[in-house]
Amino acid sequence: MNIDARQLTQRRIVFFSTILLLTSVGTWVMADILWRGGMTPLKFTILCVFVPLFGLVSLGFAQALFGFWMLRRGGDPYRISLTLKEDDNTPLPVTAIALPIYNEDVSQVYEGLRVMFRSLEALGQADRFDFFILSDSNDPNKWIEEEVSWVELCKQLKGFGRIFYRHRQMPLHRKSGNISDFCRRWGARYRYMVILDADSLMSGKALVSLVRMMEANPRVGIIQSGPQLIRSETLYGRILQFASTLYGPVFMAGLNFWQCKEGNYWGHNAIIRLAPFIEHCALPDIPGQPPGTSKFMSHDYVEAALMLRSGYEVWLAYDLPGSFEGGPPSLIDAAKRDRRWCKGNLQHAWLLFAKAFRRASRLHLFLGIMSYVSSLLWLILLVLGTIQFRRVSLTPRGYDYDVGLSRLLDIGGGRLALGLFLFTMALLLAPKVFSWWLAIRNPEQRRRFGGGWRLTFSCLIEQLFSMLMAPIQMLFHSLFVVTILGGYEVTWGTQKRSAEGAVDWGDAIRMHAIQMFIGVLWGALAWQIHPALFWWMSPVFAGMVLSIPFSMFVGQTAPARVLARAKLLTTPQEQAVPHEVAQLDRNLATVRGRIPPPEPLRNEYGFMQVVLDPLVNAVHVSLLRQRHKQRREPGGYYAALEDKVLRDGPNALTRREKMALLLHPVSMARLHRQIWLLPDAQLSPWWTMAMRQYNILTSRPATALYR
Amino acid sequence: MDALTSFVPSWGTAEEWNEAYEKVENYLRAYRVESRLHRARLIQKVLQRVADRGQPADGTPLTTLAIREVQAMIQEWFDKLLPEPGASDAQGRLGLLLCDGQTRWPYCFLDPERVPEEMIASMRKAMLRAGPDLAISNMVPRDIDLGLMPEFVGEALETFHKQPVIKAVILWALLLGLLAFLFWYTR
Repeated sequence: MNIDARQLTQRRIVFFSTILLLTSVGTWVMADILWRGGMTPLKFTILCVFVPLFGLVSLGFAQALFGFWMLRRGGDPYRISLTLKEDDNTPLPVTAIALPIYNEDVSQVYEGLRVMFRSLEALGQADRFDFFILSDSNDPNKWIEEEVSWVELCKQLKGFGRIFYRHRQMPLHRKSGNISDFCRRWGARYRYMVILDADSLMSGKALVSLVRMMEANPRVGIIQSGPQLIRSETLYGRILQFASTLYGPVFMAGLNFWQCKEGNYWGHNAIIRLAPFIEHCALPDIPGQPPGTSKFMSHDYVEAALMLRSGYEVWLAYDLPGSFEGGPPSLIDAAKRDRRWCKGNLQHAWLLFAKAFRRASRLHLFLGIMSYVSSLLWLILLVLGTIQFRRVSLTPRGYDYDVGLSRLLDIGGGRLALGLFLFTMALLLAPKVFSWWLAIRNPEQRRRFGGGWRLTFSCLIEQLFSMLMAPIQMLFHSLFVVTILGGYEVTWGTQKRSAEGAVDWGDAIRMHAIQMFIGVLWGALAWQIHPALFWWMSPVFAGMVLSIPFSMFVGQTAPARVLARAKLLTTPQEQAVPHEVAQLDRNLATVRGRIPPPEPLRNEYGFMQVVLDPLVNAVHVSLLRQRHKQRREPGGYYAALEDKVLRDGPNALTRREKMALLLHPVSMARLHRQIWLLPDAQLSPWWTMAMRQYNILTSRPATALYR
Repeated sequence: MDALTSFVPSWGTAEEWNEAYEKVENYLRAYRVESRLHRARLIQKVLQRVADRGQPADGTPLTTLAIREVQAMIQEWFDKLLPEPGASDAQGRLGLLLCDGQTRWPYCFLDPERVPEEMIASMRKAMLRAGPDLAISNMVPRDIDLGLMPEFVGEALETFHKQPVIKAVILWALLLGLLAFLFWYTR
């Protein structure tokens, strides 16, 4: 895909001029309003905070506007998918599909892999792809479940030699370290690597198309697809899914309009050219904790910037169908994910002035930072606005006298403020209107969104929920930014990717109590200052005050099912379920429909299997021996752990101790032998029960895949 | 079933033999010996061999003797099937799992006479590979010249993160600011 520098510059000049124009208008009016009664430090601060925020609102609008324009004219003439040829049957190079995982839902990951494998098989291309499950799991039970499931999956798919499983003993540098480890070991074997997330799903056709696009564009280093959210079961998930499906294309088309060949990488559902990636995209340390330097937590943006720096292009294949991902099931899980992303994005501040980086990369990094910092700015603006309103309310005339622009337009200051508010709302809502318009004008799309009325009503529901969610997210993000910059560690646990047990009252109260308190206090203060202020800010207070029940409500599956039955918040993927998604749904329903192991054994099921089951033990020991051939006989530490686990059961060991045992092949082989040899009296009652129960559990193929 | 009916242990209590029977059965089921007929035959064979060896002088429990016996039988069986006799029994177990031996040939386990050539061949070639052959690459990070950031911000942040006192002072300043605001507001 060729776009010369002049064309790209022209596009960017038009795009950023639009933002500048809109921001200038907003700033002018705001300054005009604030100018009344003289400029004070407080007002000046408000203006300073307002400008970048309005700039971001304008950027969102401009992106949607140009995206809308591109989609209306039938697509951007500069889009990477245009390089795909209709009847291209040239043999593909073998491509690696990397699935980095960390204590994930094993069934979700493996069933997704199965669906992709089958989809490629149906195209006759399965032999052109090698799958790599790259595990960093440090939960002993998950690790064993992954191994057992891998063997079972390979047996079922005849995938030995095509589907590989690698577990890292030391999960250094998280996901980016996991990928780098893969690149160092096997990267030279492949021309391309497709990176997936644990909940990613791609059709065989999409995978093949990505490879073909790379083949057609030798200067392209990364192609990022635009994954659609699928399989949302909670109300929160469905709102997110609906919004991303309806509004996403307009924004992504707009993004492609200004970035073109200098795009970004989102960490998954993307294809990467391995040679330049290995040569140029290894992540260096950055200044900061711990001792002296630290590692990038969010690697994707940096890798895209490094790829661009090396002279390769990065494209967004926003119109490539068949790329899917899962979303968080609740507000709380979204917050947990955001906290991680926020920390990673804030680290990117180090790179804003890095030498030799492209301007587009700096902008991507800056926008990533602002996606969280803007929440704090909004909070500051609202607080300062409240203070300023109180000051104004104490003056006899308030803002309602004419100076500057309001005198010129012959409207009062109050009306001018209302005008600015409406202008801001128009910029915020226009992208949604553009997307609604595109869908409603296309009979096929309209039908797939449940019909015209349902689509419109769904948009209103989404808007209502977004309005209530915005202040909650604002407070979450503000807290993240402040605590991260302050160097405070807050542990939030791992993020859930499915709706199972999404939110309970305890979680909701713990996470939102402060937000509710702030909402009540702020609301009362606003009422006391002036009822008008209270009513103007009521949507903000409503979100905060109702945060606990609201978070509970949107995290439930029951209201989502009611709306789904009424075909509200529905998406084209639900109306015409893509084959791969339907297959995944069926597989997961089968897996989850099976009877789970008895309660006392459930939490240590993997560890129990690897010790008791001769076949599972053999798989584990064989895999360990491949990587650690020269293991010595275990010393006193391991012998003591073995005795302890046999005598007191696995619950007596810490996770670290269990991992130590699991990493030692001699210990594991010996434990398996010993557990059966020892008389019951010398074993923990947990083990004797496990031996008896395991009879029942092994009556069918005993793999985690069936559990 | 003649052997089963004729087998009567000459030592140990009935309870001990019951326990040994149950343990061996559990063990065989863990090996996926699903055929009850075959399992019963194997248990009887194991227990008979234990009984034939006579009561041990060291008082080793019967369950332990029985499991030791069945483990020895399994190792013996693997030695006959695998190319390297005396190799780790884990290799044999892995072969059994990968070739689906217990499902495809349900009566062959521990019975060398019945093992078909196909099963032997499948077990011998069974092998797990965590990845294809290595093709090592040198992925070394290149330095990024961070420009002005480390100079202006780096040291300040560094100091801030390393000095809990500074953090505390900032928190105190925020608290005092809040109090000052409330004081001013309530005038």
